[in-house]
Amino acid sequence: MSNALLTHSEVAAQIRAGKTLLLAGTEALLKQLPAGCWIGGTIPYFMTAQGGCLSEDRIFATELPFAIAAEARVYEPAELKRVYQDGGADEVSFIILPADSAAHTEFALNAPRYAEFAAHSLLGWVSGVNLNQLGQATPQVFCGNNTSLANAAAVLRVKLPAGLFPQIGIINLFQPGTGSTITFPQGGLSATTALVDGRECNLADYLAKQNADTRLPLVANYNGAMINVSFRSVDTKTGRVEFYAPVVSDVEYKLAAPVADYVTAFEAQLRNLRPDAIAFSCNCILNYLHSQLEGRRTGGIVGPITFGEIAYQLLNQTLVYLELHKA
Amino acid sequence: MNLANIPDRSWNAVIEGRITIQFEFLAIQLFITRQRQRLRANEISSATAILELKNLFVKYGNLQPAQNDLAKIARI
Repeated sequence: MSNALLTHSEVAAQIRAGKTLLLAGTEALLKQLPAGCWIGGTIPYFMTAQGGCLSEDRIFATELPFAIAAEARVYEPAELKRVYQDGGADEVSFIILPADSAAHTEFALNAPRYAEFAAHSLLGWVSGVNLNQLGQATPQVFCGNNTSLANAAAVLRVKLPAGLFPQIGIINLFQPGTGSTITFPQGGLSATTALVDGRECNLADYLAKQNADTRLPLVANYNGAMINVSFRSVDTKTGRVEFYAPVVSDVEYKLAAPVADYVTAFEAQLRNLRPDAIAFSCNCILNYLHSQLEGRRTGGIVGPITFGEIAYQLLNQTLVYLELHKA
Repeated sequence: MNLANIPDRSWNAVIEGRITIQFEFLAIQLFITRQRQRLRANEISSATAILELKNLFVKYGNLQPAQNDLAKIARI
């Protein structure tokens, strides 16, 4: 079973052998692959067994050997509302969305409102580009062939054998800090006004006055799950703050407490996991950058480094993983 | 654990956010947050919110974290 960086010809051979694959690599490499049972997204950053790295000449391939059947299909933005409903009871679904596309925005804003939200196991990631090409290259996804898609989701439905159950989990090292409680009168991917300890203020001004480290996300406690919203930009001239995932009205956020050393903290959380039981994982580009993961290992957890993570809904600065359990 | 043995007052306390429980299973954690939002917005009734939550526990009943979360509700 592969879960590693492979050459183009190694991946092509696996596809031709009929394997079910999740792929991550550059557009040029993914475009040259044969048709088959796979979905893929563009990204050149990876966590490998040897450590975090940038590679533009290899593809990260995750084989799903437990699949007894699999089907890839494209979801246009308007079709995404059926993404949970369409999933079978004995299936787990993988989704890849291109960053900054209408499909990405649609899913980010509305996934929790879709029918059957969280009742079907859906996980995946948001594709991206080399950070040196931001604004020049466009994130893409692929759905079992060499057609690149810049504004649709690639979804792989994987049927599981009887008695095998998917469990999606996250590792989020960020905890709410000790500062003020921040709420938003309106949800969305940007905000000007927020309530800070109940007092209405301009969020950009507040962050500037606090000298807030906006590499740290906002964190909310969702009944025990720490859910991040990462800052995309803070503009004190316009007073507008943009986020990589939507803030939700009425949810209480706090600025995250700093994490002293990501790898050390990560390894502490890994004690509750068995890396060999993890069928797929992905981690956020912001963790990769801010925690300087290039060349460093994260306890045997490998996979693409992404522009957003999906565990039922869009997440930020979070590692998402899938475990399979026998009944 | 049988869902029917858990009294309505426990389900109501969870769905209305009157008690704070640190659940373990991600789907349950996210779903309860969403159900509370829908309740506050009067999009659904408490009865519907509870029924949907029970269905989620049935769906994930084979997974230990979901079983642990159900036990937490039963202990309310």
